[in-house]
Amino acid sequence: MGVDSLALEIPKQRYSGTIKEIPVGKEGNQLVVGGETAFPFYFFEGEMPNRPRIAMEVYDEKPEEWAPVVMEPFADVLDDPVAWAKLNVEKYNAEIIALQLVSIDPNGTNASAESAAETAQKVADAVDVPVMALGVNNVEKDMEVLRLIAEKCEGRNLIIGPVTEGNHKQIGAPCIGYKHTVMASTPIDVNLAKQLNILLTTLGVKEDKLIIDPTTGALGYGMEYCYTVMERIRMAAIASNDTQLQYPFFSNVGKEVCKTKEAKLGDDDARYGDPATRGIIMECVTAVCLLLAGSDIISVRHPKTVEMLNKYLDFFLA
Amino acid sequence: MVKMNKTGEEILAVKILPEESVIRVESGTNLLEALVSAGIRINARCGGAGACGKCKVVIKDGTVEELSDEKSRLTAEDKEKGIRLACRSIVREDIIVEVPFESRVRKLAMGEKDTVEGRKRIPPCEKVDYFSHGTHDAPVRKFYIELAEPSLQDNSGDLTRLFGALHREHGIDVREIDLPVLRILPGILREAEWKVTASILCEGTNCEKGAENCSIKNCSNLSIVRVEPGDTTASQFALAVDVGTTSIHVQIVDVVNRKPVCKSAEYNGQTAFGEDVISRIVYSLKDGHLEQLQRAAARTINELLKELLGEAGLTASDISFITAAGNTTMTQLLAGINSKHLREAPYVPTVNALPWLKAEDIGIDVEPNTPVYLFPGVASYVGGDIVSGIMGFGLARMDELTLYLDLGTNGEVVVGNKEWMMTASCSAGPAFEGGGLTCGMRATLGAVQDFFMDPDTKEPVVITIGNKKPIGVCGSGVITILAELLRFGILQQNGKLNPDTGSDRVREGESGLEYVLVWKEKSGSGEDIIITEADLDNILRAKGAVYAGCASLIKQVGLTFDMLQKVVLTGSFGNYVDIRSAITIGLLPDLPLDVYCFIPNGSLLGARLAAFSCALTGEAEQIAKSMTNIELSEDSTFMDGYMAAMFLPHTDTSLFPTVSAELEKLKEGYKS
Repeated sequence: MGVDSLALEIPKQRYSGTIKEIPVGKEGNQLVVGGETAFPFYFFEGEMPNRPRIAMEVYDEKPEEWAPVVMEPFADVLDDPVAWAKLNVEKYNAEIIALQLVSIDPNGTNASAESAAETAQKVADAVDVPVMALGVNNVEKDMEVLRLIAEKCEGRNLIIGPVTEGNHKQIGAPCIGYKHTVMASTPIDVNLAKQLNILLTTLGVKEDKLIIDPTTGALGYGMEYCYTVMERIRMAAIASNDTQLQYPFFSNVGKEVCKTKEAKLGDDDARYGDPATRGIIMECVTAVCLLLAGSDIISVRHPKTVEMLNKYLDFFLA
Repeated sequence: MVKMNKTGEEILAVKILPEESVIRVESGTNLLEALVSAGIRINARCGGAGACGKCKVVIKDGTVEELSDEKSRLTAEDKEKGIRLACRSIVREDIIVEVPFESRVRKLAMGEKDTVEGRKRIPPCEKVDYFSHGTHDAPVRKFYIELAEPSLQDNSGDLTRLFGALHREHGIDVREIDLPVLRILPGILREAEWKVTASILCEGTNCEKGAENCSIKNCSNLSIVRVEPGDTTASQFALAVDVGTTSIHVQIVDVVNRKPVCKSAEYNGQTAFGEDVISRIVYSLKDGHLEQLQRAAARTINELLKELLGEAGLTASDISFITAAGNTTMTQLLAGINSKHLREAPYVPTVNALPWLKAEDIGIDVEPNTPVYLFPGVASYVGGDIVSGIMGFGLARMDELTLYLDLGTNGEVVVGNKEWMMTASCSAGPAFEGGGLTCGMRATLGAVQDFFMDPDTKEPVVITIGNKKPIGVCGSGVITILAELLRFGILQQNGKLNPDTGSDRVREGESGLEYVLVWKEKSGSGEDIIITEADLDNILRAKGAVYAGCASLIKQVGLTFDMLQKVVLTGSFGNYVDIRSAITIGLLPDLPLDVYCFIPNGSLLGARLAAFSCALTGEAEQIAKSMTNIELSEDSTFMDGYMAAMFLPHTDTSLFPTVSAELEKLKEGYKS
């Protein structure tokens, strides 16, 4: 008897659920995310038809406290979000622009909804990749700003968020009306994530217009917790066919990582390593972990991170 | 002229309106305590912590010292009118105080059942047949005996003579007698010319569960507890008591004919010292407070007893024995047992199965020597009331897989059948008894207990107990209100009110949105009756805890809800609850309505049955021993299940298919 006939068949898990495919961006320049039929990168058990996408951040206000290594690539465009967005797309291969509307923060500049909407409109018109309009996690202010953006940017299919339980109706309704994709954000809990999805779909948000962020934690700042919640959501979605959880993930990595003490620290303490690479490595490690948890859109800040993540994805998806 | 007491404290006069009664208190006395000691039944659910705001009084003359209160429950308008919280007021001078109707604890309404026509009320459970076959002796049985008169030739003592006669005439061997009975025995025997009735207490039997014949001959320990002249065996009465955290139910039963005679209920006098078992335990820890709580419960039982004896035309000495069931805390407090450790990890009770007590031990106003049976418990939070209910319902003799749910301030749940039983408890809070809500009240006259929306006008219609003007909302009302608001899209699935309904009844209140159930022009209190988002949060938490508790227990034993053949609901509101509404809000699992049945008061039912048979007290003991308690606080999945259940009906909509379909259909209806 030949050895060949004893070849081992690896047992395979069959999954019943599929992550919904969500087209983002305006007609002609659309990207599709989601569509997984197994856990991330489990090519031996299912499909991952759409490559996870790397979004790059653009801020609508000149950053003050960033580490020099993060400022440097954007030195000429820091006070011009439109130029910044273009630079990201043309030079750094950003596949999506994540417009961080920090100027609206009531604890900061407290810019008006009109000015934020104007910026969003300009950025959306300047680039031909999908654009995300992201608020500051302030229920009231986000509500005021994001609903106006939804109206002003009609037809551009932006990804608008964070939409929370407290403002889901007020932002959700104009997103339905003006045909944008909703980014629903909930605090690190499977049930809460699902509850908001139910509220949004009950409100009328279409199944192909919803992306979720069950909270993004940076390396060393609760990443594992967020990872397990994402993992459990994905497990419920594909293994238990829980239709209310079958939505692609968005992870706001850049903003979370770059605000950590370690990312901002200079070279005054040798134990923390080289400040020129430290923040980038933290961004990469967090992003790779969350890709493994199932993230479909990862927003990062540094061009070097984008480069490394794309190499990583090329390798794994090859 | 200022009066002083012996230690020099000033003695002050507090005049209480509308009673016009005057009490004397020392300066520095808390007004709530003063009122309670004067016999005023006042609402103080939080135990006098200033948290519930229910003990409002009006200071008509004089002033009181107010304890500082960061989260005052009084508005500026209230204070202007002289309204104060009794629990936050200290008497420092002579005052005149009015205790308004709303602040008083009112008599429980019994047998009022007004609900909306067509509501699917839960049908009563079938009664288990315990007595149609075989012989059954009550735990205290009377025997008539005629003794041989002593003589110089037959000169054995009175007691030997009594024991001998019992052996000779009835074949039972008694070896013990209570000392108080022995003390008066010679007089009774001679006065009755040696023809007497002896009451024999059977403290426990060795009968098998479900044995058809279980008589006093199977008893392990017999003692004489009473000797009366003549033959009194034709009549025998007992008292069955359900000692609830919120209310106490008392029933006189006819032991000879195995029938209830009359019953009544009243709020547990302990409620003045705290709404739930935890606040009672905390209160009991201070000097003298344990005795105070013990007396408060006994006083309530005595008041009810007096009323019932009058109604039945009996006297206290007609009560032959007492059977009582309560949760572990209530049982321990009634027995005056230190209960500190019930609320401290690892949560062990002092005693699960108490020995038979005497009425005088716990201050019940019957013959001092009257035996008292307290049902055994399972654990600190699964007590004798559950054991009694399970015995009363007969779960331990059934083949069907059954879920037994006791909905009170604590929700206790039992699952199993005659082969096995598992139990757990979860803290639901007082929402289903109307507690902890802005306009909450217990199920008394004027409480909204049913509610529906007129489909044409979208205006609410409320139905109150006794058809009085509405003054608040009770537990059953809470359930139908939530379900109806959800059906009409006024309430969203996350328990928040929908701001976009266009109804003027949804308005911005002090803490978020609120819904006006009854405008003040139509209410009995002169104020709008509202339900706020904070109230809705409380209710959502309560129903989430109950559902998650049931789900966790079911899961632990490897079952699913659809495998249940019967679901039994009992508790203080089982009479009124609309089953479909309870399912709609996700309080009860989405099962066919015909699996549900209710027992108005399972605990009292068991207490009554135990008065008829010593086999059943024995069975209660076996039930308590055979139930396995699961600590949900140690169950890692409980918290997750609880979060999932805090949604209407539930985060996992597949668990509530008929509700999802109903809501979907209604939603379509609005669009068209």
